[in-house]
Amino acid sequence: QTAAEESPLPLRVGTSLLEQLPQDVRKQTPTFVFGEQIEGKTDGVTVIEGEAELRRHDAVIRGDRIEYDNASGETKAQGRVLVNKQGDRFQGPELQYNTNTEKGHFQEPTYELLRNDARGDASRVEFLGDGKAEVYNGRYSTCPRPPGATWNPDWLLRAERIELDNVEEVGAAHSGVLEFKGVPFLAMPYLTFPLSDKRKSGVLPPSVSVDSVSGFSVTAPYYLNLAPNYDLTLEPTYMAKRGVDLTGEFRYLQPNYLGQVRASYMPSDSLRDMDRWAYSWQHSQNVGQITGSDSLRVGVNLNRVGDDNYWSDFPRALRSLTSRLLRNDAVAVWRQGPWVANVGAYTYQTLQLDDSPITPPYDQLPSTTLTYSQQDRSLLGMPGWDFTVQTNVTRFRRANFVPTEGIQGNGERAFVMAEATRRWEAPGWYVQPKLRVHSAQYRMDDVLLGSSRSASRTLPTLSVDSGMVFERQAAYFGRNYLQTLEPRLFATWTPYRDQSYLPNFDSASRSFNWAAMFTENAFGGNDRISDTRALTLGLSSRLIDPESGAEIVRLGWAQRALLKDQLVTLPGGSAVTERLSDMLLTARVQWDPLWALDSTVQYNPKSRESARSTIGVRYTPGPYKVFSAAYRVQRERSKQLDIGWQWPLSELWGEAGKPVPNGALGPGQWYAVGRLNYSVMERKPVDVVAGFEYDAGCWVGRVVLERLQLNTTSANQRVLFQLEFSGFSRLGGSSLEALKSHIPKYQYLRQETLPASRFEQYD
Amino acid sequence: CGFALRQAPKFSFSAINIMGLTNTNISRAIQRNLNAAGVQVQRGGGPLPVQAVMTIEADYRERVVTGQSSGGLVTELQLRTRFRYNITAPNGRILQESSELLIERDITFSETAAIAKAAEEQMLFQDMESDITQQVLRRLAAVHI
Repeated sequence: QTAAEESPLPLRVGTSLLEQLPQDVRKQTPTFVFGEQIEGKTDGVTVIEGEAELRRHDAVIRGDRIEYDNASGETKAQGRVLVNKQGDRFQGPELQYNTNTEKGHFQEPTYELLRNDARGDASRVEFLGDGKAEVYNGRYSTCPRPPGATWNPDWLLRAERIELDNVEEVGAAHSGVLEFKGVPFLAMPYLTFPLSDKRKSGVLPPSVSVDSVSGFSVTAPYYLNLAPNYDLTLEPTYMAKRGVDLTGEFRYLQPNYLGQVRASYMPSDSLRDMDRWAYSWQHSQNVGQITGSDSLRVGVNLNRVGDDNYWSDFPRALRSLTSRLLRNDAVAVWRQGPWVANVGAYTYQTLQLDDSPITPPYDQLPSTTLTYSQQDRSLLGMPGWDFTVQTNVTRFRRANFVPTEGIQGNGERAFVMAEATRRWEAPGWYVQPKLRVHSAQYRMDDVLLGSSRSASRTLPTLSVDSGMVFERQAAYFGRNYLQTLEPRLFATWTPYRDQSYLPNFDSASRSFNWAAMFTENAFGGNDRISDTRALTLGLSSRLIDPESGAEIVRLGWAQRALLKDQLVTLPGGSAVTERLSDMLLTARVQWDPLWALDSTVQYNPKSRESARSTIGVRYTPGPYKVFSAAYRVQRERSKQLDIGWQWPLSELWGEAGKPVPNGALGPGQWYAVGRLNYSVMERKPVDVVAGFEYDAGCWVGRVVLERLQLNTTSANQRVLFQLEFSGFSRLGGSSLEALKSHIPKYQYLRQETLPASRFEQYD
Repeated sequence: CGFALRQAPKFSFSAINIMGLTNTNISRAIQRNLNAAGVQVQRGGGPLPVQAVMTIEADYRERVVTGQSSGGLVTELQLRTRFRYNITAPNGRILQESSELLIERDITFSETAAIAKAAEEQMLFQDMESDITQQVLRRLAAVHI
């Protein structure tokens, strides 16, 4: 006896059945027949009567009577015929089909497709082989068919001929009409639609809106999947009061580059009697190597519009985060070992308004940076030092600049910043001293305040950052924690140099936050180096769940003490003589996965007031259920309340829906969705996107109210209606993007999922 | 009061595969920290037998306008960093469910100071990334094989 016989081969668990058999195996698969009465001979015609069934591995034919020719595969079936081809089912009175060529036709069938759960009926279906079929005088919908009753789906596509291609996973309708609740609303001579969740050409959900500026508008987007790595979305919009806007977006993806181009054009907009246009281009490319061990990348980011009012006349159309400041830059980055070189042109288009003008930021035309950094080097026999030397030469230019009092002109700046730092550390503590020298040279087109056209400034800065981490076991509110206590001390020293005569190209004050409290320079940018001689003390404590390692609570406090007055200021600023800074208080609580609270307060202990504070709460009790609220106050400047929500309404009257795979919380659900940004000071909503979504199962309807405050007196308001047919039009729509970006846990009601298996539809 | 200086974290695995996004800032920082703690790290898998597999599913930055004046000028921005990962045993058994760390920072904004603000955003994103790195390392130390 051998060892192999003693221990037979173990069975292995397969996690899935084989969807597709290889072509050569497929031909050899046997054909089985069943029935009450079977007559026939080998390699001849077999006749099966009564509950007849013919079965191959991926196809089943049933009927009252089946005639099957073994040699040719020719099959005729009559009476309550059912065909299941790879999960797609057709039912009807009479079928003619060849099991070898997979060609044939079916009279008056109803059908159900597996992949997108679509169904319909037709006067005839023609099977063309190779996974293709044609449906004549057919209806097509993804709405369910109740057993017995006549089928009146909520939406349907009616067409003279529909081609179904299971290989390409695309359907095409000739002379088709889309109907909703029995009302035809879109007739198309030719229309394609996807048969699966894969990206395929087809209509995107159309939207209809009523707008305070544009009147009645219709957008009918169409998606063209040009190739696996190219696609194009066309978005024509008809605005009753203004005309037709044409928008297209082309995206491309290649091994070495990717990007997208978006362009809009509206000829003779009657709102302002002019042509309107906008375009943007984002491109990122890996150019490759020059010497062999380096890399060169280029990036382009262009955003331009035709006129200053574009942002308010086409709200939410621009992809730029800042709607009145559009970035336009092109940059090349080269890296080799410790070297990084960066050459770029950075410009801005500012959209000016008479009653709220913008002082535009400087364009940098060009800006060249060379950085050399080395880690873990020896200095005076001591290892572990990091060195960085950065040089930058930039030509600063302000677009459309008119020399006026108080605003300086154009010029060039070169700076060198050299830095040496070392970190001594252990798991429980660290000390990190840093020495920095910053030297800048200026040459201006016009005379500076000091009656010279050029100036320079060199300043050293010495700083030491240090911290410790203590830990203990603790228990609060019946839970065990690992509690930490983390003191941090930061000391910085920079001597005073008068910099008031220097131009300010890119320096600005920082927001008051934890990271900024522990930096050397009170200003961001390179034109002002503050004479900060200060100590910053910070203390934070965390509660960590010992089981998961997750952070449950974090509290922090930090304050800076100036050892001397800070005399360097931004233009128009005043020296800081208050030796104790405001306190920074932070709290972050994630008590369980449902609740999150985040708060930052800038508190002045002398005046007992907070200069700036934010508090945000988020409650996420389950799928499709989120409520978030944030309150942000800048004293004497702004008070804003920001609320976001997605909530199933049936929840409110106690009938909770159950999650359905790729069907949200099941059919027949209403959801409230929205985002509201409210200015408490002006008592005005600044930005509102709010409405309802209804999920019928085979379609999703949406009514959204949008309001965007454009200036102190006027706002753009619109009501938007959108219909999305499940399994027919891909999801999308700009109103959804606004929700997605403002409600961090917002979920779309439909998502792309794995394709269905033919074994789910097994006969 | 029971506080003691922090000791070096102990990981219950001596070798780990990092899958998914292996070359983001956070991913590299985690790998560096694990290496420093004596854990063998294999980027994208490798020949060594490992006891744990960490898959980094998402790591991205978001910028959202949270404050706007009525003239369309942006006054406040929110910066967000999202990081999603899961940890399994080599046989697929889940050691830590897929979880998302979401960190937000609010900053003031002004169009005129756009250049300085861009640099400040970089600083805050780096700060958030090191915050997430520390949180993930705490979670990795709590994994029991």
